[in-house]
Amino acid sequence: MEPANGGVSPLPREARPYQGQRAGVVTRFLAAAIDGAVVWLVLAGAYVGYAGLRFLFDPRGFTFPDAGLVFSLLAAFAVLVVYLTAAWWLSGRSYGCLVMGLRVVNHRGGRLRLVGALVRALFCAAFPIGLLWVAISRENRSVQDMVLRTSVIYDWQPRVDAHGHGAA
Amino acid sequence: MLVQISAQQPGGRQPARGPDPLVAVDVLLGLARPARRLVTRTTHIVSTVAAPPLRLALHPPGVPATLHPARWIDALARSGADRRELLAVQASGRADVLVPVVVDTVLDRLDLTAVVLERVDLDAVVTAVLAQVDLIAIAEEVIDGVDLPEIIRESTGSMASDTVRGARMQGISADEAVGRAVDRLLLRHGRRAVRPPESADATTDATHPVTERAP
Repeated sequence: MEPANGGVSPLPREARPYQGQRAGVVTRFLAAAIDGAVVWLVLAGAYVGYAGLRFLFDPRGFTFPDAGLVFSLLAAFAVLVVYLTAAWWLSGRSYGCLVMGLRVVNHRGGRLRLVGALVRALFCAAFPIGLLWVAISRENRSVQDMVLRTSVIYDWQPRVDAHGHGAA
Repeated sequence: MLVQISAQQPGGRQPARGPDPLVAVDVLLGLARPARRLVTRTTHIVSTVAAPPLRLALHPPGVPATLHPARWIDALARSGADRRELLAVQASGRADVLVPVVVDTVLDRLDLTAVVLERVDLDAVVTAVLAQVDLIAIAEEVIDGVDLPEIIRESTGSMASDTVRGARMQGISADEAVGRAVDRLLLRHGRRAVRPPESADATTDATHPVTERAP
């Protein structure tokens, strides 16, 4: 394929044949791990910030807040869903996808809409094990991809064109 | 008039000159047109007057058609046409041999480069050539050929970007390795259909599309 903007491609030659292909399990797992680390950092930052506020208000009676397992899991779930929804809707990539050179696209090859991104984020957060189906699928699709008709493709290009198509 | 009146030379002596050949040529050219008109008119008159008796002579009444002189003349004309074609072919063959020799001889006596430089409008030629050439396409081919993006990356790239690129390529290799291993375990043949069917314009730079096979 020729570059969407015509002309010379800025990508390394060894990477060009893979652009547009559905990504495999290793790359997607690494991207998901990076996203998980981002969510963990956000939660850790929120926890430290909350603890700091409590310390400011009552330094003598300060104890580290105990969020509880259920609240922690719910908070992590919420942060993950919001983070993934915003990332996929705005640019088609989360931070993990950005690092690993991936992009989430719909069945037309374009960027997800808000509702689609939200549904996918909820599905991924609730059923993360569905990612492992990529290893078995002949088309490199996760459970979420098969249900929602999305794809995660290799895309090293940094920008998106006006139509939300990848890698222009 | 046929002898040029030469210019007066200092000392009063007038050197003699021969007849100017151009004048003779001009006279002949001047005569050509009225002569052509005269010939045309004469031919027309003669053909008008002579046509009936000529027709009679070529197709005499009462004589069998096979003995008409017109048939002999037709046969002669056909033979002449065949001969003319043969001569044309032979002349063309000889010209194929002679012309290159003549041209080489002429060119040996000429400085063709000097002639071109003197008589050819090189600006116009270059402009016409450039108008037909897609300079952008040539520039893109050259840039792609020298891999300018890679040169820029090597000269300006940071360790972080090299690390990311390396990690991405390692990830792609690992994806392929895992895919092959799983396919072998599951006794699948053929390559994975990893290109989305709707992605004709999804992304860029996939120059080796994977052939899709039915699962």
